[in-house]
Amino acid sequence: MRLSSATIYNQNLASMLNQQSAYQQAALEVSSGTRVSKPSDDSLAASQAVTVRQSIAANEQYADARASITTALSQEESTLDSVNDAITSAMTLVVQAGNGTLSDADRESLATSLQGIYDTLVTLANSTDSNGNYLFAGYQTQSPAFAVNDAGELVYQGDGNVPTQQVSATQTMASGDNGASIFLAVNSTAGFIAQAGDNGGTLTFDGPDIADTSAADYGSGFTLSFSTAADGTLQYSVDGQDPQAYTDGESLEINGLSLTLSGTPAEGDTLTVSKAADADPDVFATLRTLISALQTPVEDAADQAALNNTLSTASRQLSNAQDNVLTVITSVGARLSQVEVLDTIGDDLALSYTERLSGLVDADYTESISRYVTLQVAMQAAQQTFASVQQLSLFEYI
Amino acid sequence: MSIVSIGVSGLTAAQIALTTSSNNTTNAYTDGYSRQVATFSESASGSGVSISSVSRQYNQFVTTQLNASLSAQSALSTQQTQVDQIDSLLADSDASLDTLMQSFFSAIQTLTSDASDTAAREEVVGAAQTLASQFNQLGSYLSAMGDDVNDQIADQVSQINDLSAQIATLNKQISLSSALGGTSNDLLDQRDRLVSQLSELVDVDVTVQGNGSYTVALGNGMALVSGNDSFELDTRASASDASQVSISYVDAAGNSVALSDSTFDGGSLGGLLEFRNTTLSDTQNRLGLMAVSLTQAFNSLQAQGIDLEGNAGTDFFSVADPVVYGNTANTGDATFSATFSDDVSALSSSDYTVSYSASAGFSVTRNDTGASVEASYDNGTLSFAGLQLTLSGTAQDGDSFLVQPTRNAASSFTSLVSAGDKIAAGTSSGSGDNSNALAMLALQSSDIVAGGSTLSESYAALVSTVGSTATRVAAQLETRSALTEQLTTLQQSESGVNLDEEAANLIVYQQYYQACAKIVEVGVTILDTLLDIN
Repeated sequence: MRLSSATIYNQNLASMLNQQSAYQQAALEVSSGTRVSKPSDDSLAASQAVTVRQSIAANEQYADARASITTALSQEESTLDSVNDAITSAMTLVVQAGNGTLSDADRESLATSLQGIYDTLVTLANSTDSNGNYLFAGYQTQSPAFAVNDAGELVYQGDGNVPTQQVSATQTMASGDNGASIFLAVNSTAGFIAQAGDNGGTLTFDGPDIADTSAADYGSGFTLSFSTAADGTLQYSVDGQDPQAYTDGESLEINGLSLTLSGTPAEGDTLTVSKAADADPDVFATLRTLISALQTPVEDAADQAALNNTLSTASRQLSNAQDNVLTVITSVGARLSQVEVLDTIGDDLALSYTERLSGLVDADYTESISRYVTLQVAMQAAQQTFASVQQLSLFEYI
Repeated sequence: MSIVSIGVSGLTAAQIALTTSSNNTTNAYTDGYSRQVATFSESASGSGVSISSVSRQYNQFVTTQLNASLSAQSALSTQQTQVDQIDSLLADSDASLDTLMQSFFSAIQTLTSDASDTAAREEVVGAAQTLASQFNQLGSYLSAMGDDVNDQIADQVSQINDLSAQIATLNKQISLSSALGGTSNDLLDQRDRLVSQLSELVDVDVTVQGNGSYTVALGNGMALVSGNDSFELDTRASASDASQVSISYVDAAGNSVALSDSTFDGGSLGGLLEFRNTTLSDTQNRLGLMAVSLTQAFNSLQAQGIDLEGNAGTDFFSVADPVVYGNTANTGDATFSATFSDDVSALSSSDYTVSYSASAGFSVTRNDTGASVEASYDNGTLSFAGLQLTLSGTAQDGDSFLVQPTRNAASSFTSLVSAGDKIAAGTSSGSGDNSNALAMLALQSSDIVAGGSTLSESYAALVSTVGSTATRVAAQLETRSALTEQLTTLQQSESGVNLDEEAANLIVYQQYYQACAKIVEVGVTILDTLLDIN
């Protein structure tokens, strides 16, 4: 075909410019290490990269949440360990207080020690994190979990909630526990407790113990009321039913629970047996009751019986409280180890996301550099062709 | 006939041939120049030579094809210039929309770890403002592009008018000079160059009339140039969408006829219209849809939550309400004011047309698919696709309205919460209550956009669409450019100047001239010999 000079010039020029732009593109890819920066570089990869970056960001968020939850749970764990120690000390003191040879002064000093434990527990219950948030107040993190009200009683001011956090794509986790569930609760396996009323007699009790879980009305609480029959003998009635004769040292079995009673109850004395969970568990109230009992001088057998009964009830309540705290500690530990597992999974995911992103948008250096070199040769060839073709002219010979 | 005069006829012919060749040589690189060839013929008197014509090497068929190809190429390259801007706008960077959305949600995550932490709250406020400003920037950039495209359309229409007028003038000059029997190769070249320039602006059909004048018509047959007359195009605000420019045709009687955008499918004008009506409006709508979805989802969570001061949460973000344009041809006085309904999951990135007929009442169609949309009209309120339009005035049969739900949402997207304590992180009065913040965080992975995709997914889809449009346009442009190059080569093989050829011609005609001069010399010598006899 006949070629015009302008065509030869334009075609050579265009081919040189195309080579130059491809060369520049390849050079950019090698120098930036990125194959896809604009959507048009590879629309599929660019859009998948958006999704993968989103996954990476979400994964980092979960990791941040886990880091913060780990801090919170670790602090809770160490705080609850101290709570557990405090309750153990209190229980030791209760055992000491049961020693019949102690004087009023000895008990007074035990009471002082218990008051110290009580104060420690209140402080622990009102622990704050590094931001000054109360750990055990539920959502009410700006006010102390426990505070003394106008009536002089220590009451829980928080709520029944626990802040949670999103720790993985599918899982939320509580970042703590509220004060009510730690200090004002017993765990579901806690048994029964007996509490003597404001008795005038010398009635003491042993138990209650579980005797027959298949008995009718098993698990229901009951109240024993003592009275003197017309013939002068002592009798008791269960929840106001017909009175039965009372024998010192007798072992009763009511609602599947066995209870051994001894001593001489006075008219109007009561003994209430209830499920621990139904008896308003409150470790602080238990300690307060205990302290006030130890501060009360023992002047006669009735006082001694009242003290023994209080110690016996308190001993069970403290043990229940400790079980509960240990259960919470176990749950915290379980959460911490779960976070560790999630961390491992998160790290694996992060690695695979990063690899995927790199596969989508990063330049393959072997390929990029070889293309860069090839294009360089091609461009040089185009330049040489241009120069030599332009020299070919018949006018050179005229 | 004497030897001398025969030689002189050769000298004359050689001079014309040399002139033609010189002219070709000097115009070798002139745009639009057609090579000229001097044709030798025997002298009519039977001895000597004459130049019967200096003809222009030109092929109408190839030129027409080349112009059509140039027109298509120009449309694609215009589109590419525009699409590439959006492509760069969505390029991955630290300030890209998806990165900022991630930062925003990351700030909310920090808030969930301590809802009472005022620093975390301020971080959310800051991230929300950064996100909003990026939405604004993208939105403003796109609407500035829209304005620019409309300006370019007006500008190109005036160029078209200019070229049409020049072609009409040349038609006149050419028919005049051919009537006088002269050759007007330079005028023909000029006119063809103008047609080629016009083709780059708009796809036109050229027909050659018997007297050699060109009739230049638009794709729909409306003539821009007919004989010595040219007809103008005009730009004005579109009847359906006051924010856009539409093109109309001014006929001989001076009446304007609105032309549909599809009349112009080639040329840079066609490219601009195509870009404006597809990629640009689609990108604006989709960004807007993300802004609206984020706004509605966040505001409804804010409303059900309680802020740090114990008050019910107030709106977090705001976007502009949907825009409704009444067609300028409407006969009724009905106007609509539009709001988003509480549930925006039915919202799409499409625009809608609301039409009124006296018999069937209001009906709604999607502009992207043309499908009809279920709408309910109740007591002055028309509800469809996540929108509520409140009617005032009375619509007449045949009235229509254009609804653009999300076109301006991205540029108007604003973060309203300026203080961290206004974030309703909880649903109770506890300052540590993070339950609502958790719900906000969950929006990140919820299908809040058009009821089917997350924010990130819908951004990814946008990136994919823009990227593949840019790739498609680039590929089409490459194919088209190759075709244009082939046609140019073909056209040039006939009309182009080859310098080697001209150099050869110069050598040949120079020798020819010398030979003819020799004839004259011989003739003179013979005469001298005769005279010397005396």
